[in-house]
Amino acid sequence: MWKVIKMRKVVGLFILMAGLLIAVAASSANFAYFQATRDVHIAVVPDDSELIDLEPLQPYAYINDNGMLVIDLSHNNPKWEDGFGKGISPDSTYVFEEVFGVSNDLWENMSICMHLTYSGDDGVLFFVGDYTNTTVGSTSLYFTIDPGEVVKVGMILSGFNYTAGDKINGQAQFYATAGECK
Amino acid sequence: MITKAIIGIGLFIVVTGIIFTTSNSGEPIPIVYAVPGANNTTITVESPASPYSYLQDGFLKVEISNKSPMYPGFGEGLSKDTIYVFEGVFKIENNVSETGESEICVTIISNSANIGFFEGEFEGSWKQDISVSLSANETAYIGMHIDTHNLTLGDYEGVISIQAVGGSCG
Repeated sequence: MWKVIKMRKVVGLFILMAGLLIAVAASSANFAYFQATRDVHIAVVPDDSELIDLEPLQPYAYINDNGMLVIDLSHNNPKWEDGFGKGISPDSTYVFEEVFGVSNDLWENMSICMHLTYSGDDGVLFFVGDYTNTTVGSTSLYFTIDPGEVVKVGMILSGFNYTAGDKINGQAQFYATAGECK
Repeated sequence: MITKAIIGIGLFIVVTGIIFTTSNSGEPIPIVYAVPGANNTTITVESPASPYSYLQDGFLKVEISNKSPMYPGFGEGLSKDTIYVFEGVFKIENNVSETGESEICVTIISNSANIGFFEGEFEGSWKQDISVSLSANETAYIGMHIDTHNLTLGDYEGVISIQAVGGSCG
């Protein structure tokens, strides 16, 4: 909530603006000046509630205290419990289908084209839908999301060229434009 | 800084020579402009053009939350650390029967760098304040560039100032 400032400063502003208005009105016999203020209200909400949702679908992904999607395969994940695996092995490949979903909850009943990119340490690839023997993971993925639809994104994680104790860190970027992907 | 700007505009008093209207801070200010020799008339320059804006008690309001009457039951708001670009959120028009001017210059100002404006299709640029010339009965669609970096989860209240003067923007 905005605080109220001292009255005398506001009065000073009023006198200045009133003076300007009178001058403008006097110089023209027709429409001279119009001013209005209009409100904007925006709710800033967690990733799984907004117009283009990012929602965790597996325990490896979660919404953090800042409302942002995080993918964490380590014991730091709040969903980790004693006895669970603490990460991936070196020299191994893991495929997880449906790690998180991207949905189109725009109010406009229109499709969007989502461009998902990854930047960071090697060993992380993304794919959409089921994993088949023709699936190719990528660090740059385009997919169309129809109104109300959820597209499920999977991940391919590779521990090759890493040794135990290493960390794989990166960021995923999401860029959506109106209309289906061409 | 932002606080003072909002309160300053919120308590702005329109002098028409005939009618004074005042407003509590935060309330939309109704405008009644008296044209010498003509009937008193209410000028409306702006109106909603997308589901993200609507008329609240006759005044334009941009609302992206589940409180909006346009809320379809999904999409509760915007996420943090994200940039959104919406084309044609609201429109502005030079209604000659109200303004009596063959051309007006409309200036739209946001009270925060989180909200910027552009006209028509988005071509990569936006400004915290834009000016648009409107000829007789011309309409322009105003889009919004909303940046939620540095905003925290919760409600964000902003203010748009709309000014119009006779003549072109130059």
